[in-house]
Amino acid sequence: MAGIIAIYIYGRENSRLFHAVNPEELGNVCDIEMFVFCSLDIVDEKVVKSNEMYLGQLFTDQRYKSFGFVTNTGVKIVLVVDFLNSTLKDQDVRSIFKRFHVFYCKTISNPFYTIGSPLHSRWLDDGCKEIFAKSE
Amino acid sequence: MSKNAKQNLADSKKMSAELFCLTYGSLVTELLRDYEDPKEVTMQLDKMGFNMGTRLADDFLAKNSNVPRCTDCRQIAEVLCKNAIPCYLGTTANSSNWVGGDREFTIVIENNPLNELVQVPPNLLAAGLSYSQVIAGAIRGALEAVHFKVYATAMENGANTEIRIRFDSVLKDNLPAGEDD
Repeated sequence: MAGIIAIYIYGRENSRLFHAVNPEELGNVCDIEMFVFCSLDIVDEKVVKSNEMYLGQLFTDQRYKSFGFVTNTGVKIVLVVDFLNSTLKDQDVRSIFKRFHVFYCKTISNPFYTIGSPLHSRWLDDGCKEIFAKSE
Repeated sequence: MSKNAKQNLADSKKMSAELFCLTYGSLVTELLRDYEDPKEVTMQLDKMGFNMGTRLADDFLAKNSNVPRCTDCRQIAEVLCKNAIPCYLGTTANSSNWVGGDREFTIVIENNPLNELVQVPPNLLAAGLSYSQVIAGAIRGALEAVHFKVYATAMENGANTEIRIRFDSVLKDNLPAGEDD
């Protein structure tokens, strides 16, 4: 797995719950966020037609491409990948989403977490470290 | 543990660890909201544990008839680690860190089911909240029911929970347990 740029988690009303950007790409956070906002619009379009949680590729420009995942409770996960990346297969993206869905569930099961506030947990942090480490 | 007791354990109704963890978590957060002082919450958890412990002591001795009579702290620790904690928490524990002529020791509970999904915020920890104090309280209560007076405190250490137990005295009189809290 290479070239994973960032992962974002949004709530039902598009409030941002979690974000993590690959440390190498910290200089381009503005561009990446703009790109993610564009992708979120496409999530809304695709979610009506889709019959599973994984939405596939959402959007692409000259630098990035994004993949989407919407849980049944309306939580959106957007994964941003380098445009030139061709090693990341559909199956890998699915497994990343599935893992982060589990991390999300674990995090909100923490009794000290209030629903709707930003997510902080060691599971998400470790998961991010892992996918960004693999992308080096 | 005898074969019979093992069978009893397997037959007894199981509860989902997640449900248990969430129930206990919401109990603690509700207490925090009511008392507003983490130290007070720790005390309340200890008291709840104590009351559970005084009841569990008899239950435990009834289920595990082969538990020997304990004469020193090492035996107490062994029964707690080998019999009591696996029986009620379904996880393993070890005793270590003996100081003060075997009067003080630590029980390390691995993968404590109470805080499987829990991350206690550091500010609450600093303010004196001890999340798993109910276990420490239960141990204190159970030992008091069999006439050992101990002090117990719980500390989180990563995925493990450490229960520090200090032996105080053997209660000579036959006061019924639970009358002096």
